[in-house]
Order: sequence, then C-alpha cells, then structure tokens
Amino acid sequence: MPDTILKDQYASLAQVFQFGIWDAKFKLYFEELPTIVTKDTIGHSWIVGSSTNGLVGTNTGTQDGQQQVVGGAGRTQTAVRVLNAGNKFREHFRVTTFRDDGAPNTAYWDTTYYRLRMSSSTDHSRPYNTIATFSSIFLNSETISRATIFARETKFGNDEIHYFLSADGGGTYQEFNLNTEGTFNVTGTDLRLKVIFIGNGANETYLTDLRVEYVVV
Amino acid sequence: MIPKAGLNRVRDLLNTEIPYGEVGTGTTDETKSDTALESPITETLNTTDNTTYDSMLIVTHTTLSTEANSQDITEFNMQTTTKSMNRVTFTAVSKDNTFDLVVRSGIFIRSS
Repeated sequence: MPDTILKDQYASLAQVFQFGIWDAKFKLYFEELPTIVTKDTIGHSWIVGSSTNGLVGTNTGTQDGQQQVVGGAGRTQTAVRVLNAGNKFREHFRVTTFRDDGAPNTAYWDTTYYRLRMSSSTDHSRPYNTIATFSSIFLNSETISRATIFARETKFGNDEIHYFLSADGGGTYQEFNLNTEGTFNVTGTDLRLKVIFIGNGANETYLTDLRVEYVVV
Repeated sequence: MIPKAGLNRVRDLLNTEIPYGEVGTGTTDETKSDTALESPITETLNTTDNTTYDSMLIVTHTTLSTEANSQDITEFNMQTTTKSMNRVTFTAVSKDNTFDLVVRSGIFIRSS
C-alpha cells in the first residue's frame, strides 16, 4: 500500500488532535509494519461446537456457547505471505519475529536497546564471527529482481559487517553492499537476509534502522 | 522533540482505536481513498489480539478454521468500529478447515 495512506487516515483521529502534537510543529510518522499471513494448522485439535471440525454437540455444549479447541498436538505455523508497504522492509528490533530460529543465529538481537549486535558479550579480547539469519521478509508469489539494503552501523575498531540477500528462500545468498542497489543472479519469490559480523567489537559493534527495499517484476 | 512517552501515548490511543480485523476477497490494489475492504467476509470481522512495544503496536487477527472456508483470501485490514486503518492485498490464500489463517500487522510511530 502507498506509505501516504496511513497519514491521511490516522490524521482524522480525534484523539491525536487532542494530544496536541500537530500544534507543536513536529511531524509524526505512522509506519505500517510488515504484514505476515500464516497458516496455523489445527493438527489433532478437537473442536467442540464447530460445525465442520470434530463436531461434539452444538455450541451450547461449551460453557459460553462458543466453539472451544481442546488439545493442540500436531499444530504447525507456516508463513505463506509477507508484505511490506511500498516494498520496503523495515526492522526495528523491538521483537524477534523475523529471526529464523531454525537457522544459525549467533548475533545478538537486542530488543532492549533495539539493535542487532555482533554479540551480547563485552569481551574484546577475542575475535567474533557471528551471523543473524532472517526468515522471509517478503513472500507473495512475485519475482524479486533487485534490492538495496540500508542500515546505520556502529563499528568497534576495524570490525566488518557484511550483508547477504537471497531471493529464492535461502537457496542462494548473494552479498550486497550497503546503500547500493544489486541485481539478483538467482531470482525467486522468497526474500531472505543474512548479516555477518566479523571482528572483536562484541556488543559495541551493531546496527540499527535496518531497511531493505526491493523491486518485484 | 516528541519523547518516547509521547509516542507511546499515541500508540496507546491507536491501540484502543483498533479492536478489529477482517479479511476479504477483493483483488484491486489498495489506494489512498480506500475506506474498507473491497469484498469483506463479514464472518471474519473478529476482535484482534493487540500487543504493544515502544512506539509500536502489533495487531494479530485470526480467521478460525471454521470461518471463510472455500474462499480465496486476498485482502486484510485492521479497523476501528467504522474505519479501515490500513488495507493490504496479497496473492490468494485458499482457506479451508484444516487451519486458522492468522494475519499479523501493526504500526510503528516515530517523530521528526
């Protein structure tokens, strides 16, 4: 969706005007976060009161007359769509939603200070080679052709931060330079990101304001 | 500048303003003039599970396994009682009774 849609619609909120922010001449930006659509399978759940799943009595069979899911064995959650307003993925590091816990993640997602750090350690006496692997940051059956990565880096000494993108769901990663648009050698419909930290900066080497802009065809 | 407390106050106001979410089958791209879903599936107008973080509101909407089955879901919005607060379209997801369809979206607020 266009970035501007939010501004116009939220500006009509009476509460926002009452708060007085507009009179102070400061601008507020309302950023639409990534939208993630997942399939949560019901597995072996036993649903009381449902007309289509394991019907046991009517809805009045539960205390409040609503359906009730009993047991959750075999439930799985799979992301099937990930969308970003204006084809711009932004990570604010408040949560770890996009951390792929099924892949290597030795860098530190600092949700207290909103940073992706080389490490949580303060020890500068040893070298680090850590990685942050993201799950799908865009997934919508559309082919991704080009992308640009932006971030604000803070580095200790001569530390290095390297960025890699995959358009085919992690099959093939390709290094991208910060602030420079790159073209995918292997295209696909599932955009993934890896960040690699090298050096001995530990928790003093980190990035914030991570953004990936991409082009689909 | 607007301090973190101010941003979080606005976030809290938005949190109380967005109690619902809904999915639909409309396929027209979203525009600034949208006020609602193009083709809402009314049985999916459900209350959302909202979570707040600094300057951020996460809205989670669930279409139960018993709802909207045999439909191709292509759009979502989070909404007040009367107004759409965003509209997102996506490639169709065919809904059936083997899964809940969960849509997670939200708002991040920052100041100049």
